[in-house]
Amino acid sequence: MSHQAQDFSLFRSGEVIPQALIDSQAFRSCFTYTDTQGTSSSWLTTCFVENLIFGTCNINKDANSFKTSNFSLKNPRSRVVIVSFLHGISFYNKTWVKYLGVESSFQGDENLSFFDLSTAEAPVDKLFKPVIAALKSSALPCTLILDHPELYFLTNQCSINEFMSQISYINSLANVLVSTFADANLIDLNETDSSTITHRQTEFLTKLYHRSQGIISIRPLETGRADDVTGTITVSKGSISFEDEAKNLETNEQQYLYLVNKEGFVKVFFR
Amino acid sequence: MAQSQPSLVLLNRLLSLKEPSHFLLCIDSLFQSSFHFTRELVRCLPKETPIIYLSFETINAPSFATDFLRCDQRSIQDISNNVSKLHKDSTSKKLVLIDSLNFIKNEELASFIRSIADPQTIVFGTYHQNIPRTSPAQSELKDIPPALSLLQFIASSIFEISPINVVENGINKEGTIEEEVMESYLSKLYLPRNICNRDTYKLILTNRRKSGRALIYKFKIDSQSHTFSVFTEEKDTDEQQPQTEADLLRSLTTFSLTTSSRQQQAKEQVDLPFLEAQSFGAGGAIVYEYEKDDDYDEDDPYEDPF
Repeated sequence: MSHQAQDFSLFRSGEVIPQALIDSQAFRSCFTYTDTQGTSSSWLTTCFVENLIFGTCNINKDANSFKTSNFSLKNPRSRVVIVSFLHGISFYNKTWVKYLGVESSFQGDENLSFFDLSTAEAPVDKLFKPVIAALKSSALPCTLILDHPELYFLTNQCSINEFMSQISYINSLANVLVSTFADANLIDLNETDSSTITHRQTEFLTKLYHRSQGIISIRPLETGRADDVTGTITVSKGSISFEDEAKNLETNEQQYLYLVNKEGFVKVFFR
Repeated sequence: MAQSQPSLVLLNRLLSLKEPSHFLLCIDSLFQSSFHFTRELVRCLPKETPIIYLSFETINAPSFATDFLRCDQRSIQDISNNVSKLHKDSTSKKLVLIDSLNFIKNEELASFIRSIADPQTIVFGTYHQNIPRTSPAQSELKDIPPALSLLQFIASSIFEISPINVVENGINKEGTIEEEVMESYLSKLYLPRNICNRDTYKLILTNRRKSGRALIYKFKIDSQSHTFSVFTEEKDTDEQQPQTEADLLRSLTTFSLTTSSRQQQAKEQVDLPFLEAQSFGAGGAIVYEYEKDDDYDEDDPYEDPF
């Protein structure tokens, strides 16, 4: 008796990031993944990096799955540019050694570049200058991962519209995956005071949702803590769909339970 | 059916720009965006209609757009000047599509739309109602109404889009979700799967006639098959069935007198005190337990009333 594979996928085709999306020259996508204090999404960022470079996904198989791929860090499916406003590269290094096979002293290279903007204070119009230069100079398709960009506008004088404008511009150069916080205390749709953190984060999230093809919500269990479940992952359609060049792509709406064990290995199950 | 026909004709006439409406406002939400409805509008347009797409948030220029202008870093004056220069000599009506009116300041909204819209230029703009608004105190003009109210004043037709599978509280049907539950999801910005941004959705059309009369119609739009039909409320289908107390109370007042299925479920799970007392079959019995100081005489026939 065969069992349905309980694999994590973002697309109806069963893939996490399909080749058609990476190869598409005219169409640029945006996916938003939200997390909370208790359910960090850093493991999913590593999972996306692995999938974009190797085409494999450790949570669907095992930690060595990247070794079976035809792609490598020198010959990737897509170049990956990570812009982190939360962590330095050392935060990811340990897991990347395990799941991407890089050296422990890895500081980024041409195909997996890392920009640490956790202490950035540059004005918003100059903030992404090196990132834009990296995206423009690449001959290979690039995918950009923005790691908690809200930390910039929450700590600097910058309007959400100005910040969104920058995101729009870099999204016009590459497919974008944005991770951001969605804790309950940061969201209030009725807050009207634009100087508060709640208003700014809610405005950012709602505007981001309206330009995303898919929303991934990583949340703790509503029923409380469990030993064998860390939380839930819900993949739902964003406000816009794929069309024209990418019309055959469709977001795979699904809900999963997931467990991050002591070794940091993640397992997902259908809900 | 005969009643529904004029409303469908009106909808088709509005979408094909045959009605004298200069500004069509579309109000959408995170649960159901205007993406599919905009494509329906484009499908209904006469073939030669030039479409000027003003993008405040769209990255990919849609193939149907004759002109695609990125507006996020332009001034309102600049956008307006650019639009007026485009298709100046066109004999047919032109459509200006604005993907999000939320990015325009409150105080500039009315003048911006007035500067573009005219009998030959129809403006179709989307307003995302879930994006938090900024209080007037943060704006330069303190007494200006909120953007949505202002847009509703000046729009000649309003299209309000919502998911079709969100039902009133108290209605339980497979594949649907109650308004109350959706509101709790919205407050957490959590989008449940298989509910949001579907191909089939509900549309509430408010059309303002020149006389001042406003006509309101509800439609079910299927963007997969491109069909429009009159929306019938879920409760209409159950008319033949006897009405329950909850059904009778639902439309009685503006107060919520009914209980939702979730509340009903919670209510049923509560164990009431004195369960033993409620189990009396005969009813009306008085149970008296004697205490040590009570004076009870077994020989007295009138002492024990039972």
